[in-house]
Amino acid sequence: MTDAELLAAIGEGRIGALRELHKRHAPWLAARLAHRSSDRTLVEDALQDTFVAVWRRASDYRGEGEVAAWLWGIAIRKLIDRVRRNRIPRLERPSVVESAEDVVLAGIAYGDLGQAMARLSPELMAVVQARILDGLSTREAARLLKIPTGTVKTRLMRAKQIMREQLA
Amino acid sequence: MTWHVDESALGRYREGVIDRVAAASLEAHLASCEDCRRLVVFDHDWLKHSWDGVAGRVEPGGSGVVERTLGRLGVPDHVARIVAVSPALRISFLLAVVLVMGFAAVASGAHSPGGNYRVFLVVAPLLPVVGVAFAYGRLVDPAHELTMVSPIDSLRLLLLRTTTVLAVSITVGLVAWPLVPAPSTLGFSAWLFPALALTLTTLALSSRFAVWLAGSMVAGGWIVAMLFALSRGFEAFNTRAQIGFVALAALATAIVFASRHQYDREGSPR
Repeated sequence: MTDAELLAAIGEGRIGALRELHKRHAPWLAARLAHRSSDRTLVEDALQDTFVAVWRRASDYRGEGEVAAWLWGIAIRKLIDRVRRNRIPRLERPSVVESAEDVVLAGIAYGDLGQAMARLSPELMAVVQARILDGLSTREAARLLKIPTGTVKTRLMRAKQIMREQLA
Repeated sequence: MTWHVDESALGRYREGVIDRVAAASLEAHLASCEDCRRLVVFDHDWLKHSWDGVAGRVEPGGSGVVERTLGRLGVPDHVARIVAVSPALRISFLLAVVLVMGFAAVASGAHSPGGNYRVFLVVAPLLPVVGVAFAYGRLVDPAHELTMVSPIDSLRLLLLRTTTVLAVSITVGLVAWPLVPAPSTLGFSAWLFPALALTLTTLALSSRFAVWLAGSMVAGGWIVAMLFALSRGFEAFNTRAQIGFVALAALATAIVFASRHQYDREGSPR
């Protein structure tokens, strides 16, 4: 069964299909969420919220694009909800940063854009990650990162400027 | 896709010891490559625990069918959800109702004809009261938190749940009634009117007390009153008594309406 077929079965109320979808996607979603929040509990809760939402809203999937990407769109927003509800602010911080040369990814060439991104400060990178890579709105990014929306905008502008200069 | 992630990079990604550019391209790849997603290692206990959490939240009623059906009938989502998760629809409550009614029906039939049908009439009207009293609250309600944040006020919620509980109880009662060797002068209303009166009295008392307390008071009062009446030979289920139950139900409804503003969100229905 493909993921899209699983979603159709979930739409018909088949819990087994949800379980299979969870089995396929929970591990990588959890890993990716953990890169957005260091709070283990928040990540676990957001992950569960995601599949509960899928159970209720499976029919919202329009059959366009990867199911995985659609799931991530839900997961990151559930994480934002959880972060917002949580009283104690926790910000994702990259714990250890390796040099790009140390990382061997078979076949991947980082290219100029990757080099440009590597120059960004963690604050700017976090905004680029939220707004560009995760596709969040300014307001959503602000909630996730716990900074004002104005700051998201200025940081994104600055990040783009730095990357443009790197690429020029 | 011309390349795939290697497992050591995935391992570093999971441990958070990977530079952010590599992390970003790995994430982009994972979102579009099923084969590589399968390489993400995970703990089986963790997966099961996570799934249990999801399962506990999506099927507290045993299935999502009720919710979906209500949704198709035009009931708003949040209302359908609350009705669907109310304990009345949980298998355990249904089983309890069936068992108790069955037991009461058998108990009333096991003795001389016409002698003990009152057992059923004393026990069965309490079932919806118990259902309502415990259909609401942190201890018994898996969706309590959901309930508290729902855009729906406490009284409406209580009425919704009461309706659900009554629907379940009355259905089972209708099935059980023919098994009860009651005199032919007594109709199903001999059970229905006391049940409605007690349930509505519970609701009325809930404007001042926690629902479980209101339910306990009504149940206790009913049992004492019935024991007293039966031991003195009063007929508690004849036509005149039924008119009394209807009057009590009407009075309780009036009280619920008059004190409708006292069912505040955080307040009485605890």
